[in-house]
Amino acid sequence: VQRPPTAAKILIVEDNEADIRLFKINISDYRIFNEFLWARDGDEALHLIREDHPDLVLLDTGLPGRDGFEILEEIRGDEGLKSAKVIIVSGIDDIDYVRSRAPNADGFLVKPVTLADLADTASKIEGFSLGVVRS
Amino acid sequence: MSREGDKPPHPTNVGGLTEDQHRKMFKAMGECFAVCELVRDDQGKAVDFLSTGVDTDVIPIHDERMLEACTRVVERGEPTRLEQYIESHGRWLCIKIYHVGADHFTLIFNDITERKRKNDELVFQAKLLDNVHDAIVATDGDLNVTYWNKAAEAMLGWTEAEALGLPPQEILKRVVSKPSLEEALNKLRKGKDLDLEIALKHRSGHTVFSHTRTTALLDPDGDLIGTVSAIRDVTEYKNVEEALRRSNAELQQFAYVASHDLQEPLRMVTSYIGLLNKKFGDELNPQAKEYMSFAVEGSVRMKVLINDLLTYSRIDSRPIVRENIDMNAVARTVTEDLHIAIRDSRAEVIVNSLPTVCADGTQMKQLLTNLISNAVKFHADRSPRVEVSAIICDNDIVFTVQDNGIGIDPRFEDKLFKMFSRLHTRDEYPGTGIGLAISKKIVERYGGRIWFESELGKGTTIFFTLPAHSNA
Repeated sequence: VQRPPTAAKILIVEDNEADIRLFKINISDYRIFNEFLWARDGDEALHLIREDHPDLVLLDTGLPGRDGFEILEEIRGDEGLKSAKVIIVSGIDDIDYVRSRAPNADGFLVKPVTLADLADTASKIEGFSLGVVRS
Repeated sequence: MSREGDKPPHPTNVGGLTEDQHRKMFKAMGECFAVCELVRDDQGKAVDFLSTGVDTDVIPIHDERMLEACTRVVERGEPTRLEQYIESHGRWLCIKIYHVGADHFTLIFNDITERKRKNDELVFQAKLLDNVHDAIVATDGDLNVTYWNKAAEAMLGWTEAEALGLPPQEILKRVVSKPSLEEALNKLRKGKDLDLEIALKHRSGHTVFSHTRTTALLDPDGDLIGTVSAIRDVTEYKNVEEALRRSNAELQQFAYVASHDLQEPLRMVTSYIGLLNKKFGDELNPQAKEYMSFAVEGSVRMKVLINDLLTYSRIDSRPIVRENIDMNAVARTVTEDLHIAIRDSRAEVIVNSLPTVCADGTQMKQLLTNLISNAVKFHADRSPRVEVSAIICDNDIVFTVQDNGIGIDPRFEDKLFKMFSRLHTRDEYPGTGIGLAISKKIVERYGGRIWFESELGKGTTIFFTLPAHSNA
């Protein structure tokens, strides 16, 4: 199947193998036209944002070294990166707390991330579309 | 001293004053003035002196020491001054002697008993003040130091001599407590005494935290002419307090971070057990399914515990809010929120008229939710009846939540308000045992107390106090 030209490119920043697997399993029931990029820490993430210009970044909070909150601040403070759409993904089941730590995020998700949650959150971001079809 | 021999006749009326008038004058003025002349023997040695104005008896001192002093003045021509205690009068006198010419001189006696007494008092007070632990500092109206005791020297490093010349800003670092220094000065100018927490500067630069009690000295016109302060060094106490505050904050932070970070792996466990169940549930035999359900149950319970811990640690992380809260409205919301539990247990919840309190509305709701849901939950075979009341007692309001439930075994009363302490099995009564610990923390946050009375099998009454609302 050819990927529709409008489907967005999504960067997932997550270091935990079990979480990556869980996300892959959660989306395996769907045929997704989006292209996924993966990064395991802040350096990889910033590099990929700069090089590949993903349309959406799913940024985990609990990363090795700089955490997701710090990486988000770095993205927002960099002229070349600041326009990236970033959804903060957290295992912390306390959305007020997460929101207070990341006021500059475009959206928030609590793990485990289901495709329905992702589609819902992403749909609220202006000019973004998730290309999903239930398989 | 010899007063034998020929006394030259002396006039009894000098300067128009009789001797009697002289006596009276001295008595009235505390002063005596006499013109005197030395009396010499054959060898020209001064052996006595005589008043040419009044009878020598009026002169209060007439002894060897006086004669020597007078002779010296006559011989050298320079005035002198001596102080002497007159035992017979019980007075201190100051005598000034001036040479007039030839063997003539004048004596001026001043009664300085009062001054001496005051001086002795001052010496006594100074000794006293130098032996107290508190620093005692007096200043003039512009806060320049005028007195500085030994303790002040020890506390702040400057000797009294150094301190007397110091501008106040050299010593005063800042006023920690309210009022500010400006407000404090204004109060002092109105003659009010002050209790202040002041950070003072030690000579070596470090800060000395003090509790200072300052009294204003006003002149008869009401102008501030000075201050006297008793200063207590509370640096050590302050440090301990600060360490405690930091340790509490760290503990608070720890509980919060721990409960957040614990969620992460737990979520992993829950997610993968869920996945196992979904993908392979149909293939599992009954025993495996049972094991699986235990694992699920454990992880669910852990999630509740972590959330409870989070709730508990959040109580103190919220800023203290004091607004007027109508507890009737709070109780109404709570009974509405709990209506399913109330309906299922066929409980009757009676809320009597409740007053307004000065507290945080969210936490008041949390408090009543915990207490009312407990009262409904721990019911006996009879249908539960819960009554919420309050009485005003001085400045506090005493609330009661009374039930006719199972009661509390007196053996476990110490455990009742402890975190995660449960008195019953989960099968009997579900819950983590955090509710009363949270309630206690909330009540104590507002300076209240919480306690209970209970009879096993008959019921329990929880009492708690809260400050009455601010307009009361």
